[in-house]
Amino acid sequence: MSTLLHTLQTEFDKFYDSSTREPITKRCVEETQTFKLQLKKLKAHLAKHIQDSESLGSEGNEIEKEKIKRRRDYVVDKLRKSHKTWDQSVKKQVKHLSQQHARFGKVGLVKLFDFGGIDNVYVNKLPAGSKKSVDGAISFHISRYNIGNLSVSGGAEMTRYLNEMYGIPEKISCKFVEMGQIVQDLKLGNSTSCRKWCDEDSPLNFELYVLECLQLFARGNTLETYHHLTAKLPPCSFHQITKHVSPILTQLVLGQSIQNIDETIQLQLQKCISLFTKEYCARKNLPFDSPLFLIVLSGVISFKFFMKYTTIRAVSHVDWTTEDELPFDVQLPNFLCHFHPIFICPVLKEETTEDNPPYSLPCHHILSKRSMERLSKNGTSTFKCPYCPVNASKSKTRRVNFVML
Amino acid sequence: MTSLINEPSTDFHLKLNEQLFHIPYELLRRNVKQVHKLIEKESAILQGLFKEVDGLLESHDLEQDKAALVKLNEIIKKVEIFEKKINRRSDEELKLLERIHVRLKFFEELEESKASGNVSRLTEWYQKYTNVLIGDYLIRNDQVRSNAEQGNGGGDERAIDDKFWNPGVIFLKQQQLDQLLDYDILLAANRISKSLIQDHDMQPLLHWIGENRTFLKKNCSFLEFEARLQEYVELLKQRDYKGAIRCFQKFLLQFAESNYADLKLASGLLVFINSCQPQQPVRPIDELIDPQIITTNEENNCTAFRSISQSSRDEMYEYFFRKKIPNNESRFPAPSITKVIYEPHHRNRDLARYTNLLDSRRWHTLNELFTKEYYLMYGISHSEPLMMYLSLGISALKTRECLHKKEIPVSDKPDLDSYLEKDVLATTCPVCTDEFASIAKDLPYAHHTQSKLFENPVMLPNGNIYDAKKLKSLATALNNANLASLKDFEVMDPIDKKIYSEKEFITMYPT
Ligand SMILES: [Zn+2]
Ligand SMILES: [Zn+2]
Repeated sequence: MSTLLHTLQTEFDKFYDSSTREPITKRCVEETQTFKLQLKKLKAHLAKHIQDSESLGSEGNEIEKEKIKRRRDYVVDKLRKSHKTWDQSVKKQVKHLSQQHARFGKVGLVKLFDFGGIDNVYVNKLPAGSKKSVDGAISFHISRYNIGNLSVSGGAEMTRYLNEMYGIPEKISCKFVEMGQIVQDLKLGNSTSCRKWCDEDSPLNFELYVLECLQLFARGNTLETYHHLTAKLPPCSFHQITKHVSPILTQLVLGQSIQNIDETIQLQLQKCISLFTKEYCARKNLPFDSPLFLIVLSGVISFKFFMKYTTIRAVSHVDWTTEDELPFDVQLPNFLCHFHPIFICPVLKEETTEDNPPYSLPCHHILSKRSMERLSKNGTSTFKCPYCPVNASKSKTRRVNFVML
Repeated sequence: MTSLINEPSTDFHLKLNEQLFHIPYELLRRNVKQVHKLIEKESAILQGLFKEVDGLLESHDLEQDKAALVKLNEIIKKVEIFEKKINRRSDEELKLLERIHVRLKFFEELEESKASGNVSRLTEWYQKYTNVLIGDYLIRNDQVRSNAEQGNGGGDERAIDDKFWNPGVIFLKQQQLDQLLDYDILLAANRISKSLIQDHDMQPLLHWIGENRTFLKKNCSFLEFEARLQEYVELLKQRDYKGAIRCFQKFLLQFAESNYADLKLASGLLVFINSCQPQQPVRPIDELIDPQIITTNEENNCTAFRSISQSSRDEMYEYFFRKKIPNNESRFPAPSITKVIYEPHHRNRDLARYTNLLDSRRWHTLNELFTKEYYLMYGISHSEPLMMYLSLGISALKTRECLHKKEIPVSDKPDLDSYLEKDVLATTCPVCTDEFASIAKDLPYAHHTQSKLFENPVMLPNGNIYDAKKLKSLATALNNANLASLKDFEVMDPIDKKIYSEKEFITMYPT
């Protein structure tokens, strides 16, 4: 679907030699090596020739002299040829490579230069002191996403490492230390700590079970695997048994091996880690997605709107940053919109705020206060609800409050 | 073109990150140019040598043959050296190609995630993207630390990278995203910046300027001039008049046309420094202020400066602009004291300009100029991309309710209060977190054209509107946690903690 990506990929492949999948300069290296070996061989021939000529002296018969001369001629001729071949070949390779570079640039890369300056989009610069806050957010983010990748183990060690390496204060990293230790254990093939942590009725139990079965299978101890498969099955649905457990059991009994078992184990491991992380964050009342990530994601989604508007603004010389609201609707996906209730009054098409809160009419339709006051001419007259034919007056309305649970 | 969460297209992402391909491409081209030069040079040398060998062999003379053998040995040695050099270039090329390959795969994953319809997979890709942004931010903003205690025993390849490490690089490696950022470019800039700001060492910058002269000229950059000017000023601060004048004539004179006023000031500075008397005793110097600021003798002050006659100043200009360095020891005896202090009450305009030249903040401005040119050359944005996305994202998420601390009346049951406040009413809005609240204060709000509410909106007699289902399940949860004992048809308003009957629910129609 992305033609740009396809073009780049095609042109990029040409940097490699089509048969050997080695970069083109590697060919130069190989040619040079061949050349060097040839020269060495010829040198040996020449040395031998000199030796033979000297030992033969003037006593040699015609046949021997002829043989020596022929060999010498061969050496001289081959020297010239080798040199010429090498010289032409390396020069050709480099020329070809340069051409391919130019082509990559002209056909592929140049199409990426579509945006003027991305810096122009960064209109609302974050205030000067904000780096400290950003660092704090990064600290949380790193604790959340990186704690399973550390090379040290043990809670205290992890905290100390995070503090020394990334400047993460203990009060942030300590929230995830337990999670980090369990994830590390899982990665090392040990699911005991995870089992201990997890709730009895959690779906994580089943996934851990599958993981352990696969790991035992890979280790090759048939009996142990069989025992685990049959005796340690946690409560789960019939569908889960048929889809995940039976195939393993079948392969085991038949004495076959599972295809791509390492990859399967990796996938299952990732699944367990992901599920565990979800439950951990839920139990500890921590956000599953770090705030930093959600904001960046929103930033990515809104980027094209900012870009379009920056261009419009530049053309029409209108400065929109003086307003306190963006002039366009970014249309974030639902999971980014459920943090606060947003009510848009149908009359004035504006968002209700503290100063302009929503009001309910007696028919239970809702307007903004400003709309209501305008329609009622500041409370002096009755008006018709914009939705239904019920009449209302200001006194019959009341302020309401949306609360998101 | 599908988009799952209204995210931009793959093409858009590629264009947004074009420097990810541009930089290794440029490096590849430079590499090929080097290879080309290498081959041309070697080819020419070998042509010559082979001709000699040919000539020697032509005569069919045994002694000549022996000489040819020696020459042949020489050739072989040269070819071996060439082989090593080109092998290094080939490895370099492989490294760069691998980088591009990994990046192409990265964007392919984006394409496939979008096509798969799997939102989880797509958000995972964006998590990686975010982590690359964080790596970039950390690298730019953190110190370059030298490899003192780096003891993780990395292999040879990592040793070169790890010579200068920093948390951003470590983070990227731990996340296995290090191929997605040209961090060596950023680290190189950091190193030069550090040498300028911390060490006041001009050499790394001058070296970089030397290697990139073509680009700087094309951009009509003043970087070289400013760097040499600073070098000159530093020499003057150390009272190395000989060195200063040498620097002036060798490096600064070429800018005589474009920066004449600056050069006049610079030459005047030498006179000025020379006219200053060291003051006794030396005042205590505040750590934060650059100690190398000039003072003048108490009695002399402005008059001392002005008293240097016009003719002697003209001599100075003549001296700088036309004549060569004569023996000048008699003229400018090196004083014993190198540090002097400034009396701030002079209003002489020239003095102010001279002290500007001597201010150590010039190192910072020089660094600013350098980073601007450097980032421009590599097509990297000057501000950190992370900050930009944060700014955009906060505005996109900021609603009118954000940053508003709601007034929640306290009840006589603290357990209940705390449960309701933390687990029920607390928002998970990223903008409202402590870290971002302070930043978000001054950023614009999002603009919405459609309401985004919840289902089953019902109003309680107190005017609060909730999702009816959630109210009922809250009631159950409160009962289960022994925080309340509500009957079957009762609910509790989490804000005012009053109990209401379901019969009092009024269905609302906000849309
Ligand atoms: Zn109505
Ligand atoms: Zn908020």
